Amino acid sequence: MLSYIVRRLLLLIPTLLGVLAVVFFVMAFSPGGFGGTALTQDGAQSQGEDAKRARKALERRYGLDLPKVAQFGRWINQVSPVGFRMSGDVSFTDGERDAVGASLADLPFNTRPARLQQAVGTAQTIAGYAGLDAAAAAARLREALATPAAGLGVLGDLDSRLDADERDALKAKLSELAADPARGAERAQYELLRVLSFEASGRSRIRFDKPAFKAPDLGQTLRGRSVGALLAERIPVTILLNLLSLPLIYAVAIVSGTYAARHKGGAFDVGSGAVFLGLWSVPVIWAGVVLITYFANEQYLRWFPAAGLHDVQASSMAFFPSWENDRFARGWLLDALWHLVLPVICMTYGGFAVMSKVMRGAMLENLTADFVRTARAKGVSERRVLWQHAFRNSVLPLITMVSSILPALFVGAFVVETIFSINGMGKLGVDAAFQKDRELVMATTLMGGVLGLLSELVRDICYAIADPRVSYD
Amino acid sequence: MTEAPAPLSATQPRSLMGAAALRLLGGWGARVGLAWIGLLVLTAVFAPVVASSHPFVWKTDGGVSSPWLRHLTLTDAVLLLSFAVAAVLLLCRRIPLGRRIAAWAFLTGALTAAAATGSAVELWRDRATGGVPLVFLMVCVLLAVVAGLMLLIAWSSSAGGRGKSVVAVACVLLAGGLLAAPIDPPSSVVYSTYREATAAGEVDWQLLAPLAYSPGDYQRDAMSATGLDARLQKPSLAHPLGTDESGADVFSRMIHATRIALAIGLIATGIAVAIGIVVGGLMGYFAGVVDLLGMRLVEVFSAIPVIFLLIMIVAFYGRNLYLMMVILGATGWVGYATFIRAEFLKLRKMDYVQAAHACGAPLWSILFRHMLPNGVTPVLVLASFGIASAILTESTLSFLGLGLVEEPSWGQLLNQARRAGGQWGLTLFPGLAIFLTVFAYNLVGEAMRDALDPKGGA
Repeated sequence: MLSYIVRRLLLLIPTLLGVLAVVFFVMAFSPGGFGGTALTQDGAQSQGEDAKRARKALERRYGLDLPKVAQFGRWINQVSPVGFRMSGDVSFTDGERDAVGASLADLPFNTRPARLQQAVGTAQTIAGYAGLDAAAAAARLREALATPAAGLGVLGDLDSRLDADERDALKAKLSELAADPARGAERAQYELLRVLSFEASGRSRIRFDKPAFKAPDLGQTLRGRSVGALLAERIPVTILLNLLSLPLIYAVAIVSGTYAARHKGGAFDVGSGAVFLGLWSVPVIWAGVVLITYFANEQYLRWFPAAGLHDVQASSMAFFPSWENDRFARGWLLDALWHLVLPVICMTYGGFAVMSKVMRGAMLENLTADFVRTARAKGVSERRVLWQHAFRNSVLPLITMVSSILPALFVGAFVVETIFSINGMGKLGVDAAFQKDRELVMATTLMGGVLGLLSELVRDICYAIADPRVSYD
Repeated sequence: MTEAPAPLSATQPRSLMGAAALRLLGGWGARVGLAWIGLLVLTAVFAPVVASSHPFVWKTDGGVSSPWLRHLTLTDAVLLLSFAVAAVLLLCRRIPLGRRIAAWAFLTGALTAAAATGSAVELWRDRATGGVPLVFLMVCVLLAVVAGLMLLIAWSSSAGGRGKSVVAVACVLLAGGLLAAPIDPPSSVVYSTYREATAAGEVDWQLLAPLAYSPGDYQRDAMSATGLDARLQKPSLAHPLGTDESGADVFSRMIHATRIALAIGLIATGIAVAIGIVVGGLMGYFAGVVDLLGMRLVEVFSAIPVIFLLIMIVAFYGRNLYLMMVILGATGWVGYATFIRAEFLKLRKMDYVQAAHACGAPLWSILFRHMLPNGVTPVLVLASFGIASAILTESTLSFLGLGLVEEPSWGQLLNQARRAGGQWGLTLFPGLAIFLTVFAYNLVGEAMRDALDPKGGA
C-alpha cells in the first residue's frame, strides 16, 4: 500500500507539470501578454523614467525578458523545494543584516533611517547576487556611493544587459546631480540607490550552482504582495466552506438515499427522486441570486446577511452567544454560521441531489443481492442487514464520487464566493485572471491541480480501506 | 454479397437502435425534455420573427417597404432557410428518414458554408481597417470543417445517383441564392425612428412583430417620449417580463439568447466528442504505450478546472463566443475519450475487428467504420449531459461578466438580477430558462441511458 501511494505521488508530478504548462503557455502566448497593463492600471506615475524603470523591475521580477520556455522553467524553479538559487533570493540572517547596516551607517546621507534600510536592502541583494559576504557587499556599495557616477559598475553586475546609452544617460544625470552645490552629492547618492533598488528587485537570473533545498516561493503579485501570504489568508475560508458542505452532502445523501431504497416505490422515493433530479439541474448562479434577492433583502425577507463571512463588528463580539444587557448577543460563532447559511445551501444542494441518487441506486442493488437474502434468511436483524451488510457495500460509489465532488466544490466555491462576496480562494483565482496576474493565476492553478489529483489518490486509498477485495500491490 | 444476409445485417442494428429510440420516446421524461428543446430550437430559428423592433411591412411617405427584411442578418437567413428545408423534407414521406436527414444536413452545411464564405470575404476585404485575424482564421476553420462534414455525408450516404443530383442542384441554388442575396444589414440601428415615425403620424399602416422590441433596443427615446424611465421596469403588458438595466426588453433578449445557449451546447460538445472519439479510439485500439501516454494527457485535462481556464482565457484573449466553444470542446473531451477507450479495449479483440485487420482494411476504416458504431452509444448519453454542462458554463461565465457584451445571454440577464431591485422578471425568468434547458438535456440523457441499458430493457 505504501509503495503504491509513493508511486502514485510520483506519477502526480508529471501530470501537475502538464497542467501548469498548459495554463502557463496559454497566458504566455496571449496577445498583450501578462502584466502588460499592470503599471497603467496601478495608477502610479506611468510616464517617464520611473515608469520605465518600474516596468523593467517588473519584467526582471517575472523574467519576462527570457524566452517563454525559460520563463516556465524559471517559475518551476522558483516554486519547487529543490532548485537553483535566483538573484534576489538570498535572505540574510539578522547578524549579517546588522553587519551590513553598521558598515553603512557612517555614510553622510545615512542620517535618515529609511534610506539606511534601502541601502541595506540593496547591499544585501548585491551580495546575494554576486556571492559576496555581507561586509564585502557593504564595501562595494559604499565605494559606489562615494562617487555615484563612477559607481555604475555595481549596476553592471546586476544587469549585464543594461543598455549602453541608458547607462550613459544615468551617468550624465548622476554627474549633473553631484555637481549641484546644494546637497548635490547626497541627491546623487539617493538617485543611484534608487536605480540600484529597482534593478536589484529583479529575480530574473538563475544562478546555476549546486541545486539546493530552499523554501518554495510562489512569487509576488503584480502589486508586490507575497502570493504565499495571500493564499494562506484565503485558503482557510474556502476550506471552511468545503468542510461544512461535504459532511452535509454526505449526511443528506446517505439518509435520504437509504430511506428511498428501503421504501422503494413509496411516496418519499418517488417525490425525492423527482425533486433531486430537478435540484441537480438548478444552476448555482440562479439559486444564489434567488436566495440573495428573497432571503437577504430588505424588500422581501431579511433573514440572512447578503455579503461577507462576518459582521462588521464581529471582532468585538464574544465567541459564544450570550445575554448582554437583557439583549441576545449572537456572538462570533453564531454570527459566522448565520453568514454561512446561504452560501452553504448553494454549495450543497447540487451535491446531495446527485449523491442521493447514487446512494439509492447502490443500496437497491445490494438489498436485492444474494448475500442480503442469506443474511435475512439466517435471521439477522433488519437494522444489521441494512447498515452492516448492505450499507457497507453501497459506500463504494459514494467514495468514487468524492474525487469528482471535491474539485467541483472547489470550483463551485468561486461562483458562490463571487455571489456572496466572500474573500476565498475561488474569488482570488477569478480576480487574478481578471488582473492578468500571472503568479497568482499559477498559484491558484497549482492549488486546484494538487487538490484534484490528491482527491483521486484519496479515493483510491479509501477504496482499499472500504473494500478488502481491492489491493494495489 | 448474396441477398439473404444483407437485410439481416441491415435490419439488425436498426431494430436495436429503433427499439432504443422507441423506449426513449416512451418515457415522459424524454418527451418533456425533447419538447422543451424543440421549443427552444423553434424559438432560436424564429427569434427575429417573434421579437423585433423593425416592422415587417409599413407604409410611410416613401411608400411601402420592409425594414424587417432590410435588417435581416446572414445568421437569421441561414437559420430560416435551413428550417424551411427541414419543413419541406418533412413532407417528403416517401424518402427514407435517414436519407432525408442526410439531405437536410448537407443542405444546411451548404448554407453555412455560403454564409461563412461571405463573411470570410468581407473580413478579408476589411483587414486593413481593423479586420480581426483571429475571427478570420476561425471562419476559415469553420469553412473547412463544414466542407469536410459535407464530403463525409456525401461519401457515407447510400442515396442513389438521382437523389444526389437533386440535392446537389438544390444545394447550388440555395447557396448561390444566399450569396447573391443583398443581405447587408446596417451596422448601426436607431430603433427609436419607428416609434417616432408612428408618434408623428407619418406611418399609414404597419405590421409589427408580436413582441415589438429587438434585443438591442434600449428604448433611449422612452424617457423623452413618455417621461418614464425605461430601465428596470417591472413586467407589464408591453414588456411581458419587464426591462433590464439598460432599458431593453427582457423577454426579447431571452428569446434571442436561445441561439447562444443552443449553439454553445451543440458546438462545444461536438468538438469535445470529436476529439474524444479520435483520442480515445487510438488509445483503445493501440493500447500499450499510446494508451499510457494518452492516459497522462487525460489526467492533465481532467485536472484543469475548465471554468477557471475559461475565465483566464477570456481575461487574456478577450471575449469571443467561438473561442469559448473551442476551449469548452478542447477541455471537455476527457470523459468521451475514456469511454471510447474502454469500449475499444474490449472491441479490439473481437473477431470482426481482427477479421477487418486481416483483410487489410485501413486504420481509419477499422476504427471508424467497424469499431465506432459498436462503441459509440455510451458517448451519446454522455454528450447529452455534456451539452447541459456547456450551457451551464456559458451562463456562469456571462453571469460573471465575462460573456459577450452586446449579444443577449441568459447568464448576463441573471447577472443584472443582482442589482435589479424589485424587477422580479429579471430574477426569475432567465434563471428559469437556464434551469429548464439544463433539466431538459439531463432528462434526455437519463432517459437515453435507461433506453440503451440492456439490463433495463423490456
